[in-house]
Parts: sequence; structure tokens; C-alpha cells
Amino acid sequence: MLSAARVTIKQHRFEVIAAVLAAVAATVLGASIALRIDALDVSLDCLDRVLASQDGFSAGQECFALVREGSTILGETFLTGEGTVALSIMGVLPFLLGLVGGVPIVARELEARTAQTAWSLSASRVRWLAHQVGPIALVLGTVMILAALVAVPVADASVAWGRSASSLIGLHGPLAVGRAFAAFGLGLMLGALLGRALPATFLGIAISVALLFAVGIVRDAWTASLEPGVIADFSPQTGEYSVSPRAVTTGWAVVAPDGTLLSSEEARDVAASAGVPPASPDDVQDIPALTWYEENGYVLLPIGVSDEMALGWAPYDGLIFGLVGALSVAATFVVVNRRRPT
Amino acid sequence: MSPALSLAWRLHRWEIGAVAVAAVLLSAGALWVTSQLSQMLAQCRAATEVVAPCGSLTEMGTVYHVESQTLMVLVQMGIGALPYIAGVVLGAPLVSRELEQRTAQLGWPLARSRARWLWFRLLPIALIGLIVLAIPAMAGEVLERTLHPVIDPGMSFEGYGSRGPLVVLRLLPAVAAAALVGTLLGRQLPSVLVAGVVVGVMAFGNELIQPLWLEPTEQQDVEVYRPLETIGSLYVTTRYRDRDGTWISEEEAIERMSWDPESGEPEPDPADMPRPILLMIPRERYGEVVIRESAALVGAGMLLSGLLLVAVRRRRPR
Repeated sequence: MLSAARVTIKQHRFEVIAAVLAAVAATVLGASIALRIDALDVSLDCLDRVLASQDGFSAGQECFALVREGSTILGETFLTGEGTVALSIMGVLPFLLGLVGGVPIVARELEARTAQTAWSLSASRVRWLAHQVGPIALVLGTVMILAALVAVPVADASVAWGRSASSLIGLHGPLAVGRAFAAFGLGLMLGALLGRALPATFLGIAISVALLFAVGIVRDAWTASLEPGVIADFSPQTGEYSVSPRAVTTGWAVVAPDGTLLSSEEARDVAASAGVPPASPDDVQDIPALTWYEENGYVLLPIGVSDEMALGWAPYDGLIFGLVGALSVAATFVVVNRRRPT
Repeated sequence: MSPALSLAWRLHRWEIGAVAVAAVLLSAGALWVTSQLSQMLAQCRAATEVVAPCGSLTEMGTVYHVESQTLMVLVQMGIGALPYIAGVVLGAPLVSRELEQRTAQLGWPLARSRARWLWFRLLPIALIGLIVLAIPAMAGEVLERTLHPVIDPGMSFEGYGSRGPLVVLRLLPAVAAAALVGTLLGRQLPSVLVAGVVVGVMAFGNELIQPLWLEPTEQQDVEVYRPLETIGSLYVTTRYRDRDGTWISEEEAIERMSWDPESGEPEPDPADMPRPILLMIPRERYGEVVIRESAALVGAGMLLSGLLLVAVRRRRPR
């Protein structure tokens, strides 16, 4: 059993080593970031003060310097939450690991025409495939789980530094492993279908990108279906509204002077009934209505959902990628069982 | 040349097809965004330029719209990355496939020389790649012309590397480097992985050296920032000048600009604060930079092709 696993790993040593190196690099980077952020020992109070201030300076020099240093470590521009190196890598790593590990398992045997011999020597093709997949899945699964776990404290730090937790779904923890499983299954199936490693890899990349895009569209539709609320807070000091940190904007609404929340269309109807003329065709902002709102105490505000509500998407993300992975692996067994070995 | 092109197509139709599909999709995306922006611009010119999204035309030289902020960015990034990706896809299997499938054992002795064999493999694939990439290069140029209608794209760094000749020429060193990696490794999938890393480093290096093509000039004082004057110029860095005119370090400037209201110290006078200064390469010198980078890309492509030839000559066909 062990010697068979060793042969399988040896057959695909380059891909396995490349995938392991990538995962180890991501793990080391993640661990280094988590440790350095932890060493800064920035208090939540300090982070909240910097996030609440306009420029950060008014939060105090020492506190601002610490937060700024944390932003540098996280690879972010000042508090925008963009460009986080470690989490960006975690967006790609599951797919890289999955495709590089999954594609050549069957494709290489077919391409090199060794499948004919291997399949006829094995008691069944299903058993042959299980023996091929097992060792590679075990090695890649272990390093993927490690990288995904180390990414968790990095994600937590990013959230503390102002990024929304819902924007990090799938980039750390079990959901990242789920994505790797989906990519592995896809790669395995495409390799078995096409019988050539390189075209299967390219097609796997294209399908993964399309899948991510499609999931993104479904997710946006799901978020838009949630009950929206005003995501701006009124500041008595400045007399202005500021958008709540980490909230997800889904549209705009108008708050009437009595506090009633009106949709844009309802507010326009109110303005029209008060005699406000319709906007000219080139006036996309509807200046007459905006002017009337301001003069009559109506406030135009962004509406959306809180970060906690948007996080409700996480189980669906896991379900979609888990299903893709399971169905692809099952389909591979069917393909290998029925395919010509050439 | 025709049999060589036909052979290249037969041997690499999957790879050529993948690059062509990506090129066509990106070009279609660029032209779709262009048509959206054109409609918006026509409305702005017919009406007024004081309401969104037309207002930003006079303020920032561009129109802001959902498409111009999301799909446009994706399309421009995609076109910018395409020559490198195409280089890996087309270059990595060029020699490695022959080595892996052991057809080099037959092909190399039958050719008059390995140099001639390589020439008939590399040239057609590079030529096909250049032709395919010309489509998104032109689409990127059209998109840029519409995105920043107030400035001449021939004198603007906006969309640098995602339009025009650089999109095409960046393929040359990428394809040669990927083919070199393929020759050294002799296996297709590992070659794609390693070539991806090598070409990725090349692309990153290319981005880093952009500000070094020409000496940047002191373009504008941030305190009197006028976007229309700097749009199209290539930002290099921000430096800080003290009120007496001497340069000071960023750390010193930030320290002096920070003030803790709880410290009890009086708020510093803004007139004593250091002034941030933008250093830029002026937009008028865009053509000069493109010519310099083009020459460097052709040179790098030739150098890497030379190394590839040496590697092919010395390699065992297995």
C-alpha cells in the first residue's frame, strides 16, 4: 500500500512539489504576517478611533503610527482593505493546488499511453483511480488545510483593520479547502475527458474563472434579496452621515423628515406630487428632485446589509464548491470506467 | 513559411485556440465598454457637463460610470496580462512537448540543423501570437481614446501597457523565456508552472522599471492639485519639501504632520507643515518611453532566443 502510494507520488513529483512549495510559501507568509500583527499589540479602541477619524492623525500619533505599520504589514494601502498580499494569494492557491494536482493523474497516463497497461493490470479501473487519487489528495489536502488555517488570523487582522469579513469568504478556513476540492475534482475530470494534461489545465483555469464569476453573480443577487437597511450613521459632531464601516451597499434610499425610509421611486413620487418637474433626459442625477429633498429635510442615504448579514452567504459558497468537487470526482470514476485507454 | 505556419497550427492548435479566444473575448469586452462610454459622451456633449457622470469630464478628463469602474478595469488588466500569459501558453510546450513525447529524437536528426528546426518552430508561433495580440492591442487603444477623450492617447500614460505596440511586443521575451524553460525541463506541465513563475517575475520587473525609463520631473505641488494638468503623466513618487525648499524624508514629514490632540501640545500651524510634491514623467514623453521599452523588449527577446538556441543545441533529445 505504502510503496504504491510512493510510486504515485513519484510519478507526479514535479506537480506535487510545486503545489506543496506554493502552499508552504503561502503558509510561511501568512504566519509571518499574523505574528508581526500580533506583536504590534494594537488595541481595538485604537483601531476604532483611527477607523472613525477622517485622516487618522486625530487618533493620536502613537496609535496612528501602530495602525499605519499594521497596514504596511497587511500589504494594504491606508485602510482601504485592498491589496492584501497573503489573502490575494489565498484567492488563487486553492485553484492552483487543485488543478495542478488533479489534472495529470489520469491525463498523463492517457497521454503517455501507459493507461492501457495500468488499467488491464489492475483489478478494476475504479480501484486503480482510487489508488492514484488517494496519496496525492492526502498530501495536497494536508498542505492546503495548513495554509487555510494560517490564513484565518490574517483574515481576522484584516477585518480589524477595516476590511469587511464578508469580502473574505472563501479565502481562509474550511471554505478555501472546499474551493481546492472543487478545483481538484474539475482538474481530475477534465484530464480524464481530454486525455491531455496541458489543454485540460488551460480549460480547468477557464472553467474555474467562469465558476468564480458565476458564483459572484449569484452571491450579488442573494445579497440584494436581503432586507436592506440604512448603512450610514449620523454624527452629531459633524452633522453629517458617514457610511458604517464594513457594511455592504446594495442601493440608495431616502429618509423622510419623520424618519420613514422611502425607496428612490417612492421619494420621487412624493417630490412629483409636491410639484417637482421630471428630470430632463440628460440629467441622470435628477437635480430637481435632489434640490427638493435638501430643501424639505429629506436625506439621500446608501442602503445595504451589515457585514454579519452578508456573511450568511458562507454556507452557500461551501455548498456550491463542495458539490462541484464531489460531482466532478464522481464523474471522473464514470469516465475512467467507460473511456478507451488511448 | 506557409507549411511552417500550418505545422505550428497542427501542433499547437489547443494553445493557439486558447490565446485567440482570450484575445477575442477581451477585445469584445473592450469594444463593449467603449460603446457604452461613447453613448454617455455623446449625451454629455449634447447636453451639459455639470451633472454626473459628465461633470468628471471637465474635472478629471474622464467619465465615471459603473462600467468604467468595474468591467473596464478588468478588461484593461486582462489585456495588460495577456502577452505574458500568451507567452507562457505558446512558449512552454514548444520544445518540451517534442522532448516529452520523444519526437525530438526523430525530428532533430532529420532537420539540417537544430537551429533551423528551432527557427521553423519558434518563428511561426511568435508570428501567430503577434497577430492574435494585435487585436486586443488595437481594442485597448480604442477604449483608452474613449475613456479619456480630452487627452491625446499618443501623449498619455493612461492605460500604459494595456494598449498599443507594447501589448504585442511584450510577447517576444515571454515566449522565448517560456520556450527556454521548456527546453531545460523537457516536460510540458512542469514547464508551464515554472515558466509562469519566470514570466510573472519578468512582468513584475517590467512594472517596477517603468518609472526608470526617463528622469521624473517635479510635476505639481499636491496642495494645489489640479487633476487635469497631471492626467496622463506617469506618477513616480511623492517627496516632501520643507517650507525653506529643502527635501526631507517621508518619516520626518509624517511625524511633523501628525498631531495628537490629547498630547496637550498646540496644534501646529499649517504654514509650517512640509509640502508633498509629486514627481512624474510628463505625458508628452509617452512616445519616447514606448520606443525605449519596445527596443528593450525586442532586445530581451533576441537575447533569450539566443539562449534558447544554445539550450536546444546542447540538450539531449532523450
